[in-house]
Amino acid sequence: MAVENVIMMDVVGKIKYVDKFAKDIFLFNDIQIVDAMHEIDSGRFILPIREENMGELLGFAQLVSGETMMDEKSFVKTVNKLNELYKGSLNLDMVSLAKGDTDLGRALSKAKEFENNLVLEYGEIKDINDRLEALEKSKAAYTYLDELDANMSELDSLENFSYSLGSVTKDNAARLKSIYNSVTSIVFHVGNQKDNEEVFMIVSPRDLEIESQRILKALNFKPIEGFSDEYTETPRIILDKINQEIKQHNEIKSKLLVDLNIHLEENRNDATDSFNTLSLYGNLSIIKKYMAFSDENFYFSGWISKRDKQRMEAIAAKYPELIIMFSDTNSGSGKPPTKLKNNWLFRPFETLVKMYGVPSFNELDPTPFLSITYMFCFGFMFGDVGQGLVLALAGLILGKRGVELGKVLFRLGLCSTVFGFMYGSIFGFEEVLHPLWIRPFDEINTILLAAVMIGIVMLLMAYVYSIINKLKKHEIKEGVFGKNGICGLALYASILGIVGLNFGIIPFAGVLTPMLIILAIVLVFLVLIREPLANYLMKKKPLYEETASEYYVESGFELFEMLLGMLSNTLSFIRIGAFALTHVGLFMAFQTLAIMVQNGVISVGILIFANIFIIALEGLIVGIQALRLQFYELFSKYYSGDGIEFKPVDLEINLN
Amino acid sequence: MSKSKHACISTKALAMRARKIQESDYLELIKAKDLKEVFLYLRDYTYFGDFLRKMDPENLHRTEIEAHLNDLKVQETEKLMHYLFGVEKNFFQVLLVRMEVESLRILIRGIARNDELEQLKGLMVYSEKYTKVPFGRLFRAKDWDEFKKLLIDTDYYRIFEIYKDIKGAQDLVMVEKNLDRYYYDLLKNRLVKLEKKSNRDLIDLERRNFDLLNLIWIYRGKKFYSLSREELIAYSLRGGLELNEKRLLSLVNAKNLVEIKAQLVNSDYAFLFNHTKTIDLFMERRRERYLYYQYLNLFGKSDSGLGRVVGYVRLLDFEIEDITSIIESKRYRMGPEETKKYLIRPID
Repeated sequence: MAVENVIMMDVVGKIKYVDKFAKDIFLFNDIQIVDAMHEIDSGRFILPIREENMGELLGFAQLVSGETMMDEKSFVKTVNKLNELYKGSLNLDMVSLAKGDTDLGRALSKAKEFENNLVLEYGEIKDINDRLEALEKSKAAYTYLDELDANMSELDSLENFSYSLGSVTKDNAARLKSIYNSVTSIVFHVGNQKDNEEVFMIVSPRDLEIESQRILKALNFKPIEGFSDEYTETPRIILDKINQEIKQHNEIKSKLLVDLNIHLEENRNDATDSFNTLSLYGNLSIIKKYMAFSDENFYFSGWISKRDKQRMEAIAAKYPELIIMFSDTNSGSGKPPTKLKNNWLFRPFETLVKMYGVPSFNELDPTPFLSITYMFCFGFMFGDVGQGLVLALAGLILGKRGVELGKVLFRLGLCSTVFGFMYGSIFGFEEVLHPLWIRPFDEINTILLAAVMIGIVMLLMAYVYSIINKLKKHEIKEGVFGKNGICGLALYASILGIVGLNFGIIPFAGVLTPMLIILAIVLVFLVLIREPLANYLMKKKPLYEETASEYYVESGFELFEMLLGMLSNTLSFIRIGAFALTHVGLFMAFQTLAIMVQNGVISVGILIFANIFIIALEGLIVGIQALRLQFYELFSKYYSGDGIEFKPVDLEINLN
Repeated sequence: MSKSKHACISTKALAMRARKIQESDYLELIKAKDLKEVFLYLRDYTYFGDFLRKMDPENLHRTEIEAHLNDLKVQETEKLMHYLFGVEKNFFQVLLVRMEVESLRILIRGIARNDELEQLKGLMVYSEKYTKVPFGRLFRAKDWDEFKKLLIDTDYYRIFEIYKDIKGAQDLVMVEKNLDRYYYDLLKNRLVKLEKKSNRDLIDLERRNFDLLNLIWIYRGKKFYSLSREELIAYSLRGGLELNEKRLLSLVNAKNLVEIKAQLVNSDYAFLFNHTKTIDLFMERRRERYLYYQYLNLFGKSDSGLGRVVGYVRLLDFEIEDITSIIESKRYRMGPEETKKYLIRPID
């Protein structure tokens, strides 16, 4: 069975072992951690009441959730810093973590030391950056005056006048301009700033400086920074000097950066060590957040696979005084997550199933059935040796790059190839290969009828799945008497029988037809009264959950819908045949075009385009149609998909 | 631009306007005995109700009620913005900036008074969706410097950065003036980007508002603050309709009220000064009542531009202001007749 059994594991241990235990859990990996506090609060974390458990039981009274105590942020911060320095080239090495006895204290001090060394070199770079920034500012400032043919020292030492440069917004510049003639200063417009502000130079008599400043402040005049006494020459000469200095500093900076990189490379091993240890402790802190703590003990809960039970017990045995308990899914320990287990052929199709929903823990995993039928339908509709191989190749490449749907595509491509041999088609050409079965276009009726037959088989399988799923959940009403239960299946079969008899597919029409009709009527009746019937059999009262009249109106419509559904669901599968025909027809159209142009090169071009077109567009359509059959015609019958996915440790805790 | 472009949002504004409070509601509010009765009436009988439900009628703060009334304005403005894009949406966003500016003003005054900013939280009104101001962190600012630094990614930083301190009364007034000027410059700059033909009436009306504000500013600046001509110009608004730069300068140069009045004799704004004793007391209300009629007119005309929608928000503004005045009148125990004098909307 493809849904793996999971069990709840509850652990109580002495607090001094908590770090080691958490590390084991982290390395064990295949476990879904649950908030222990929550488990305890909801009364599912149950310790057997025995004398030797007394301490642990008493601990329940003084529990604190790990959430409030643990803080992984400092670890994460350091880890991220290391990661940044090495531009993400450090990787978490699980193997070495499993081997060594990791020492948090040492890792922290190493990281600290490492950081201190960096500060020295970094500091120098930072100084240079600061200097460069100041120089750029001065450069911008003096650029506004670059047409001034006087020494700055002269300006600075004016006796009766002071000057200032500053910027105002465009709107305030307009205001300033309208008071040019009445303001007590000389105002020059010397340029515009990058942020759209206008720059003015204001020269005012020292006696009236205060008044000028008041007006400037009213206009939100912002002085330009970067002027300095150290520059005394004319602005042009100053700018040359500044540019030269910028150049020099940039050279030193690039040399320092090279040194820094060398330093980083030399210390890569140490850095990796620290990175590993700190990542581990970051993760352990997260694990511990899910634990609960009393003064002496820690409490931990999580879901594991049933088959991992012994491995877990072996781990637990290492710790003295550790109590480990397992509880089954059916002993009421919350809704267990669903862990899917499929072989390599089916596994990629789990993605498609999860698109609809994760199977519930007490439901059959539809993945194998979906995989087989999906591949079959796709191949049937898109049978071509060449195009199939192209799809398979594309899927293989995508799959290698980690695209899960690529793996699905690979399998679909192979199926397409198999059907290509059945139809004798390669890249659309039907002249090269001899068909193992038929050529779709030559025997249209056979193909369409075969499609319906395939549909019938698939629907019957879906009924079986539905019945098993419903009975597993002890739903007598739907499982036995429901439209997708045993009654539904029998009704569908008998209707098929009646049709078969009357079209002469099955002999003995005369005797069997009336019997089947009577059977069908009885079954319809059973479905109609399924609720009261089931409740009566289960000795449940009341018989109806709503009023009887409401129930029968509703049930009557459902019945109508069911009968219609049986017909439409079955006929829906004709599309499998139809698309098999379209596939051939589409290529034939292009082939005709290629012959009509009567030009070798263009013909080849058309045929190549035809293949690309068919692979891309028809491949997509067929893929969607086949999936539609699964989701709409089949899943709606038997599958609820309301489970919770099993998420092991490493999915939930990821530092990067 | 076709008429249908704004048909949808215009109809929306019409529908929203239909829910506005009526004269009878105003009368009830004026009649109310105290703050609590005003609150209960607003909560139970007007569409402001939803925004007041969370408040405790036994423990009411005047200013908090106002903030909640304004929350409705934020919500409705945001709602109307869904229908707009490009320059029109940009223009509309300025209406939200107004509230942001007011909220900042409250915080700045709090800093000047050394208040705990956290306590002012309930008075903040802004659009969470469109604001770039990190209000959540501003409350924790300990002093003016920290406050300024938090605004570094916003336009406001440029306004505040040259002020080293705002403890001095003069500085605080100037910072506030600066904020206002920033808002009106923004409004003007986005206003002129709107399509001229279809928004003629709207643009003219907004520009009239600039005129009125300038008049009041110059009048008061001269009378109460004795500011220099240059400062008066520095804080005047640009983009007025009748009062261009030249006329502004000559108003600034006027020696006294008589000269100002003489200059306005032939303008639409003579009404501001055609009174003997109550010029100062009702100046602001006269401006707003003038605008109220104009916006009502704009709202009624269904031109093809944004006029009706902006008119809607402006009218809502006046409505909230009137309710605020009524609330205040309870505090000063004013009689109904006295209260009515202070309302923008004329009520008989």
